[in-house]
Amino acid sequence: MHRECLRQLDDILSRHDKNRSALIPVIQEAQELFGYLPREALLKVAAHLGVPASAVYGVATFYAQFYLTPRGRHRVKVCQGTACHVRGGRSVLEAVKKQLGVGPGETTPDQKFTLERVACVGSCSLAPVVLVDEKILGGMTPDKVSRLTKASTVKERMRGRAFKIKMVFKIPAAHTALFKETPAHAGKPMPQPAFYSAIGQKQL
Amino acid sequence: MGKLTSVEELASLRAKIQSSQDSNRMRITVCGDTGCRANGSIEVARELARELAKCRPQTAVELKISGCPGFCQKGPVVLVHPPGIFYREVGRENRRRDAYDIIDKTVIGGGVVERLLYTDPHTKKTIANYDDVPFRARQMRIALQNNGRVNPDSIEDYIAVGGYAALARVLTMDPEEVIDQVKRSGLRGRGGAGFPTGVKWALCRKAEDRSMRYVICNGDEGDPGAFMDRSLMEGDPHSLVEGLTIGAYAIARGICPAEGHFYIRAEYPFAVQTIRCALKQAENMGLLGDNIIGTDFSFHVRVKEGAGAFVCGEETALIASIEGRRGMPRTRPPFPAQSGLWGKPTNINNVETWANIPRIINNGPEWYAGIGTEKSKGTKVFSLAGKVRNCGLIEVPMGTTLREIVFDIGGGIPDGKEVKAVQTGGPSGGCIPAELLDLPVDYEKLAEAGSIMGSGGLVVLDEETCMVDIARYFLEFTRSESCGKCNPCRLGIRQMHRIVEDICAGKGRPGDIELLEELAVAVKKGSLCGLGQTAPNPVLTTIKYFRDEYEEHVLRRRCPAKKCPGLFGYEINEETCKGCGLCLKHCPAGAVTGELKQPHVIDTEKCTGCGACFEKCAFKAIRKV
Ligand SMILES: Cc1cc2nc3c(=O)[nH]c(=O)nc-3n(C[C@H](O)[C@H](O)[C@H](O)COP(=O)(O)O)c2cc1C
Ligand code: FES
Repeated sequence: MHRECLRQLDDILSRHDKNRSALIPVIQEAQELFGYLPREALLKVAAHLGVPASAVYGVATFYAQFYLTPRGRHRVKVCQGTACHVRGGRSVLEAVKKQLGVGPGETTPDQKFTLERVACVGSCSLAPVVLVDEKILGGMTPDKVSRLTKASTVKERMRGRAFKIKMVFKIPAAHTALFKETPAHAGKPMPQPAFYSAIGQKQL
Repeated sequence: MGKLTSVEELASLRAKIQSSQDSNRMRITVCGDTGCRANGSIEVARELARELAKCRPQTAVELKISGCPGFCQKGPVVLVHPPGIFYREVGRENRRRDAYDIIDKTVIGGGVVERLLYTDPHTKKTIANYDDVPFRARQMRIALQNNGRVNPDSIEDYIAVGGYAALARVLTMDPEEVIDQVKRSGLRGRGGAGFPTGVKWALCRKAEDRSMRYVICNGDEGDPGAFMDRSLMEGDPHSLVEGLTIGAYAIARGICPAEGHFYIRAEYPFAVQTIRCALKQAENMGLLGDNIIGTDFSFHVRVKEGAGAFVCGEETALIASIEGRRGMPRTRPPFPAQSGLWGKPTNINNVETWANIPRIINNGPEWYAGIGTEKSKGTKVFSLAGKVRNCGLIEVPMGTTLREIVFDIGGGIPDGKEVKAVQTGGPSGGCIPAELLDLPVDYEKLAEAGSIMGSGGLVVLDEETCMVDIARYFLEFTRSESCGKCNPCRLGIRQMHRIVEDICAGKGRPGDIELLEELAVAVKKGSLCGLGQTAPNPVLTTIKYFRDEYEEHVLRRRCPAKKCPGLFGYEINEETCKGCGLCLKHCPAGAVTGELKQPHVIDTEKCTGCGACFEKCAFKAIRKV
């Protein structure tokens, strides 16, 4: 597994310029690949980009996004932004800490959850907010914290089945005349609209 | 579609798209922004599509997912145009029934679904039209004009509402003239400091180094409690691309090549996707890249993702981050306009600043300068959050009072509570007390009150908020986000935090407040960058306006807002207590006594103030005293 990832790291490196400005994007992608930043990977990046390992570690330890130790399968992020704070974000964090038995930045022993605290995920109108992986749970209370594990199972079931929805759905004007002044269901069958076409696709 | 090679082609393309988009055709827009999405708006859209396919309406209907129309509190939001019916909280209870009713009653029947309309909390009447909803009616949308109107993933949609017309116009203008227009509009930077944008551009254009110019869109939005830049990037990305291209033209045309960067914070993956998609679309159409619209002006833009550091919103730290270094600010001068990214002249503006540029070019600088106050022109987008009824994204002319924002637009404070203060500017700003709610919002007035405009976070605080706790909250934030390069910031904020933490824990000493004030001045004066220079603001403003609250904590060991654990007690209301025994069971200190089915009592001597009983009581019989 690890060796396979290291091989894939080569692909990532080959896709970027071979200079310092590529450092952050490269280790961002490397973290996607490994789930965290293992030592071998960082040393390899350093050697490839011609940047001292100390500088690579300097960057990796500066930014909150980077992890030097393995993380759990799910990431639970508890928002500690201002809007969430005034609506009780702190007690939600306490409750999550208690539920998972770990503090911010730590991973549960079964490697299932990593707890993170973030400052605002931009959904302040739903405060207080908890994110389980990419799923936003709004209006959290210490009591509702038990929903956390449920949200992650849903997510797990959906994995691999990335939803795509087409953004624009139009009924061709040519067919509209058919329905004038007749009850809605009286027309001929509509041709199936091109539903999941390629315009504006976004993974949701 | 091939690349556009002339302004005429762009115009005819626009005409073509517009004629295909019959304006009388019914459009259903579903907000696809983060807030609504979390409440299931995408599923609502899918359900609507399914119903539409089933019932085959009489006229062509367009269903699209748009950016944020603003009223996040009531999400998922669905708008039906014409006539502009506003449905709120669609599908929160029953997705299928709501979707069926919207299609059945509105699309086919031409009526409204009463149940899904907004109800005015004062008059108790329902309001059908979005423009009549008080939240919307008091606003003026310039930067946000396309949010909720266009499909962010469709460049055609943007072109249909006049997009890229400003760019086409600019490409025939003298760059100096473009800068002059921006100067005349009076537009000031929306990222916080409010530096006049046109002046900044002119400085960058005049820089000595004539080999390269960089223009950057600062989408770092680090202020916790602010989300307007995210909404703009996710809801109207093409305006930003257009603005940035205009900026590049004004700054570099005739001097040297230019290159652009979007720097977007890591927490906004969806914004990154949207901007990437917009850049690709613009490039495919010849509105970006080589030889834009057939001219010899070329401009390429890249996207850089942040990696989770608040300080990277500061321009020199942002540059360091793009260069692949630790995001640490450096001393200025030299300013980025002289020596920025890779040592080349660089111009950085905030997302909202860039969004305003195409509007100014299209409508003329005089139009823009006619809005707002004497020194602050135009409008400002705020993200209204905290203890307010209508959270959401709003845009008001400069000079609007805080009272109008909180009460007329925000609908006041929920649960019959009183407003206590409004926090603006995030960790760099301050708390403006209720007495000053009639303050017109502009750069100068907010600064006079000790706060700043900031990027536009506006968090409403009610009587239950402890101001010392707020000060502690922000210090905790700035302490952990300080990059550690300069001592006043790294150590000073840490000391201030420690003192405020002691005060909150009831361990404050007489003289602490004065010590805090002294430290605050030292940190402000001595820090290298804006982070440290402004970090004491939340403390200074709360001391200035709520000194009695600090004194109460320090001298009497009491928290008047009943927020700081240990600085207030609990009491059981004999009348509502049912004697269920739940509190007794959960009290870790054994402070609760009482017989089953008889009112219980709390022994204040033994009570540690942990609040376990308060949390557990099902009858709300326990209150804070
Ligand atoms: C600590 C700190 C954080 C900042 N964060 C942001 C930010 O998140 N977004 C932003 O646009 N500007 C931010 N700024 C301001 C920028 O340094 C810069 O002034 C701004 O991007 C300039 O754009 P404007 O002239 O359009 O306002 C921050 C400044 C400081 C000191
Ligand atoms: S403060 Fe939590 S989402 Fe903004």
